[in-house]
Amino acid sequence: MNTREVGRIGEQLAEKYLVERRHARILARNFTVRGGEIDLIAEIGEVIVFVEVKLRTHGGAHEAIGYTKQKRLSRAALVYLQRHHLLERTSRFDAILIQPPDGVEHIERAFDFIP
Amino acid sequence: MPRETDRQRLERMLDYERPLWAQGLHVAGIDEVGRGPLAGPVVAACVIVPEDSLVPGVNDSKKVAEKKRERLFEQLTAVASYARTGWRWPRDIDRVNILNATKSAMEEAAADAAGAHFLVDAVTGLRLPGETTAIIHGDALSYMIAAASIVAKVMRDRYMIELDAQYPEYGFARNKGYGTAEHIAALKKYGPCPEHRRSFIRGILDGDA
Repeated sequence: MNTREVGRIGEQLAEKYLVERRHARILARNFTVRGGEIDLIAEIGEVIVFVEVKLRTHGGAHEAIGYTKQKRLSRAALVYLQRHHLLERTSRFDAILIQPPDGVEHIERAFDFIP
Repeated sequence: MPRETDRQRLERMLDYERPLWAQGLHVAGIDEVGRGPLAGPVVAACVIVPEDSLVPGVNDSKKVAEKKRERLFEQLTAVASYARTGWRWPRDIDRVNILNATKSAMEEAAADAAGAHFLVDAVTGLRLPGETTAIIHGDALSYMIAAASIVAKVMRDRYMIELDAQYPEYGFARNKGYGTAEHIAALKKYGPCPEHRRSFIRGILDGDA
């Protein structure tokens, strides 16, 4: 399996978690703009949630999302909100850490929007 | 906007729990009390209240008056299918720092609830025996986290009242180990007791803090 496929497994598990455990509606997968990609975009209640999925393959330490990555995700999120006329809506960034076979840790508001 | 009724608050505080219950999962709340004080332990609680035995009036322990908190504690521990606390002591806190001490207290509290879905207030990177959702302001947003906050708070307060009898100089029964003016004045006058967190009071004992 290449990295891309491994990533897909994480995203599928994260999506299953969001839909089943949080009653989320999935709005987009792998939303890509120049300079940024968002793994999952979901709607939970009234809130638009941008989700970064991380697959922990070695069960190691808690992974951080670096500043540059946060900035890229913020830019992509802004484009998404603009395109879909959702700028007025409450939104946030979450992280979902997946540890196969069934470990899931969902971190709400893992970081804040960086302008 | 009209004030939220108790009923409305209860419904709102079950937003996280409802979908999990719908899938037949046990939902556990985890919270901690005592990260800030200069003395005494940090206490974490993990609580599972079954869907059909919810106690009305549960809210963030900081928003519930002491008398009501005591009553809720008795009711919650009576109906809970799981309630366990984890304690980390001043010497642990000095050795591994407060965040790590808090995490291991939480992990201990949750250790026997394998297979539950854990709702945790803000702390991430825990090694818990089940799926985990970390929620910022979880004690105000989730019933089960609020229930855990009440259990942890009442257990710790009771312990601090006992400590007050042992070390009456510091007013522990009133300040619960937090850095009130009275507590800091006593620390300067009498020096620390074995229940003080050395890593927290260095600045105060050095003089001018």
